[in-house]
Amino acid sequence: MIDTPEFQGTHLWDRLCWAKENLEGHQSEYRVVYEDSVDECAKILVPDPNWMACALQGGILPPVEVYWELAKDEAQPDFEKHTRGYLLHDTKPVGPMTEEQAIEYLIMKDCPQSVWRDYDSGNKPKLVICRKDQLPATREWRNAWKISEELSLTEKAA
Amino acid sequence: MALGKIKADTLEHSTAGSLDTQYVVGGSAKGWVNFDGSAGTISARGSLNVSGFTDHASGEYTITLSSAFDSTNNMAPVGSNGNTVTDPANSFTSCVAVNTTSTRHEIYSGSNSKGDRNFVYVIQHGDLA
Repeated sequence: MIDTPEFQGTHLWDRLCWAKENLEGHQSEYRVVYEDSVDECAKILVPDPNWMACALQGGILPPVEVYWELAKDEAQPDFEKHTRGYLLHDTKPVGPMTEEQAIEYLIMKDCPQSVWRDYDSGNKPKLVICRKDQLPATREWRNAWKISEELSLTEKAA
Repeated sequence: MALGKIKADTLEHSTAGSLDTQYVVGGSAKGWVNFDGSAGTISARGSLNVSGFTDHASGEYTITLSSAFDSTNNMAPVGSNGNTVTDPANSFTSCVAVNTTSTRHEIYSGSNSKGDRNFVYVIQHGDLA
């Protein structure tokens, strides 16, 4: 396995370009199914293979809290431009993650906080991590997909 | 970065003029993705600077980025084809929401309803944070 250069202080874009050139993409079998509105069908979050390779390698991606800070800035009504982009580049990168840890990171980065903060507090889970083969194999009735109310490891997730 | 660097403000051709490297930096795509939107769950064929894809519903996708843009003035044109790379599939596409770390896209069929496509292409342009 190739060693990751010391990337703290290097622009995240340059790190991603290094990863693209040096790491093999990793197609994850995991999918994240979540519902953020009772009126809408379930959403499916799919990790990108190059991103997953960065997560498994370690030393490339910034801590997920950095994205939360940028999101806070962007949510301000007078937001025009990021002034704290350096957080992406100067914060110490996170070390190697397992695939499961990477999925948790991705959920906290790319899913609405309202979904993952209390994902299992209601009558049924708002968020489920499953394998690709637990989802329907075709897009038929895609707009009616919902998280199954009675989940088991051997059943379809949506 | 531990790799070599060439620092220059201008690139000059022997006969065809010169180019400010700012144009190269500013004009290069900062992210791209080619994905299959018609399989049971969507999957990427190739990408750069993408962390994940959210499949919202039929013909509705969000692309999330790793390296953020500095503002929401970035742009992300999207295109699509049908079952093959040469099948235009009578569809039109739009970018319906832009954030510094994501863009949301919709694909419509000829009947003005959202639909999935086998080949979906998104390119991200703008200045990075």
